[in-house]
Amino acid sequence: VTNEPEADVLVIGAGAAGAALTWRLSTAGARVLCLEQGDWVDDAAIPKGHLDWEVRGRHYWNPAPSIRGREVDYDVTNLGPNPVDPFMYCAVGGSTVGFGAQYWRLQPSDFRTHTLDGFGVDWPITLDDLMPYYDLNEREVGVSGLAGDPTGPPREAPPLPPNAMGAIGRRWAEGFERLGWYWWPQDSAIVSRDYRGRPACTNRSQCAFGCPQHSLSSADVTYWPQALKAGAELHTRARVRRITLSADGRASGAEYYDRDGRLHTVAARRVVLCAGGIGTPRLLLMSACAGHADGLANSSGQVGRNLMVHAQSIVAGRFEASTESYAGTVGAMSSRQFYETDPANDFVRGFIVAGNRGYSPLLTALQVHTWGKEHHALLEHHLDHDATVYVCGDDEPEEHNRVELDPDRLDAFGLPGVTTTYEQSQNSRRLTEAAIGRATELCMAAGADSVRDFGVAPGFGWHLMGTARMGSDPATAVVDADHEAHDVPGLFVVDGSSMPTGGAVNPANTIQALALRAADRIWQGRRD
Amino acid sequence: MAFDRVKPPPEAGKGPSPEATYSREFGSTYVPPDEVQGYVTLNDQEQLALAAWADRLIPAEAPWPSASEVGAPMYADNCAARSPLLRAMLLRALSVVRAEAWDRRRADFGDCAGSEQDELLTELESSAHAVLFELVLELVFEGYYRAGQVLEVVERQTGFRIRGPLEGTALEPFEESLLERVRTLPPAYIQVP
Repeated sequence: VTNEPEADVLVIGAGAAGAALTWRLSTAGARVLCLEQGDWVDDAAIPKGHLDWEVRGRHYWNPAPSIRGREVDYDVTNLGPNPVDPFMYCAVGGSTVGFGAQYWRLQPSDFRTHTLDGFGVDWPITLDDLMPYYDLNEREVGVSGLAGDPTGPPREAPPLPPNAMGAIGRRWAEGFERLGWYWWPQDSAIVSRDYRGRPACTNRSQCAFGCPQHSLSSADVTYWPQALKAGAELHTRARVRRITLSADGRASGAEYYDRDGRLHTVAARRVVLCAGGIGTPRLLLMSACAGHADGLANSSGQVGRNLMVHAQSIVAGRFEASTESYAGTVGAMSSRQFYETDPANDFVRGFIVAGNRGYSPLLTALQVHTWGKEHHALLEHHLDHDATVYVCGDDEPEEHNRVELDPDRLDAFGLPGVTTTYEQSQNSRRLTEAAIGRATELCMAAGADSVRDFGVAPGFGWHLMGTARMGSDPATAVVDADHEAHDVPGLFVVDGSSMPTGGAVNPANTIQALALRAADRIWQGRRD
Repeated sequence: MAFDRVKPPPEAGKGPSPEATYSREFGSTYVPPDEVQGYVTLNDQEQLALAAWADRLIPAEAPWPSASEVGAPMYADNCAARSPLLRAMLLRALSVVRAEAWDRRRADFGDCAGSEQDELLTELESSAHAVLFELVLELVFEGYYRAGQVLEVVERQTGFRIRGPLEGTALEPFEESLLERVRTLPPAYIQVP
């Protein structure tokens, strides 16, 4: 057992939130140490640097940890009537290393859903609290987009113009126009021009398979280089087994195993958990101890509860003309026409309708799933002629949707895996049905000759939220408005798990804005 | 997204058979193209049966080559060889179809007529052994759609630029004039206190 020097702040997890928070704190002068279970992504291993990128993406790059099964991963088994298939990477940059980079802001109403609609809980902060941090995050990350969307509050212009539109982008725009809906070019964390040493996107498409040229603004190429330059320390292959407490009950550091399984302890004045919507509750539950028998910071019983994954689905439209599915950023044109609650609906809250790109050869073949003499004809019918509409809606936090430890599936050093249990609510089901209907309308208005959809509960686990939520009441929330645990002074949770509700948009921008704000609150609130 | 799929993985209950969750083996079974030098697991009869099976899944139809013509069965063998579970499943899959062919036709699967092979595979696909069929289909499709010879045909026949994801493509930039109508619309979000 060895001892590390003390840090002002110990950050656990080097993903979207951990990277932004570490950068902000270290540039403010804090001594920050970050422990990351995974490693840096090796550029040579990024699938899209190779002609067989689709196969690589299904094997060692697979976004499901239980499939990827690397030594640095822990197992996730997915249960319940609507099992979720989590998308999560243990790596510097976390899940951003292969994300779609659709970079939304929440709406004012997202922070008051209980007051407005009796849905979920209200946040203890408002959009105004986050606005300067969205601005800051978008500048640091290099967001491409356009100000002026009338479906959102006035905002600072993104630093870069929208990504290239392409033929399918134009088709979605025409479809939206025919329907008379609000729409806007999709904000993306993909640089449309050279930006801070990273080259402009050249429309290599299929961003989930990584970006060898680093135009995709994953946290390993945006915040981390700057954070390290500012003096932050990052230990990779550092597997935390528990958060430690001092005699007076404050968070005091962590115990972790290095890559060889050797135990280390690190002492810090503050500990910030940024391990994601599944990893964060796992660590809190693993840190159960005297006085915290049900897990650390869990007097509310809410640690691991309220797992939200958004009400999501996809409609794939088939077009006679080419959809250029080998090119372009994931997102093209999107609409918040149906974002707010409409009393005429049989559900509350709403959804986005996002016109995206098409699919790749192997994925098309597997999806169409036809073998025999029709195989080639059907591939020719769909490949480069399909394009997708992604719908994402608000998913209500419900206690029975949860993350728990799984002592039956241990990681490489004997630490427990997790199970997720998820059952889609009736509200989410009705909302998704309506969203699929609207996406189908868009496809047809854009000229599709047929559509297929993924149903109301496809199990997409791309957005993992709510499992250590913030709130003013210690009886119902794990952390307060400054992300500090109600039960444990000096312990903070900053990632998707701290979001009380999820809005109806991809959460990466919000997670990083929350992290930047939390960094300021942590540093300004220090008393040492 | 790139990993969309039609149905969730079969994990609806804790403790399903390992075969039902065979995809859990995929993380450790990637085979670089230059490492596929020959069969690893299958004997001659099994190779013939798998080649016949693969060609029923993806037959030749000019200009498309068949699965066996581009080495997809050998890829499936090499991939399965990296996992004890997949290796056992592949062998069992072949054993099942060969035994069924023998029971019905007194012939090895590879020697049955194409229509008979299709009938056997169709039955297997919806039988208690469906997961074996799924594994073979998945591996054969992978082997097929990573073969350079196939990717060239993909581009010719569909227009999907195979090197687009590697080299990039010039695309039409966003045209702001398209937003002329939307810019005239009133704000559409709810202000809250």
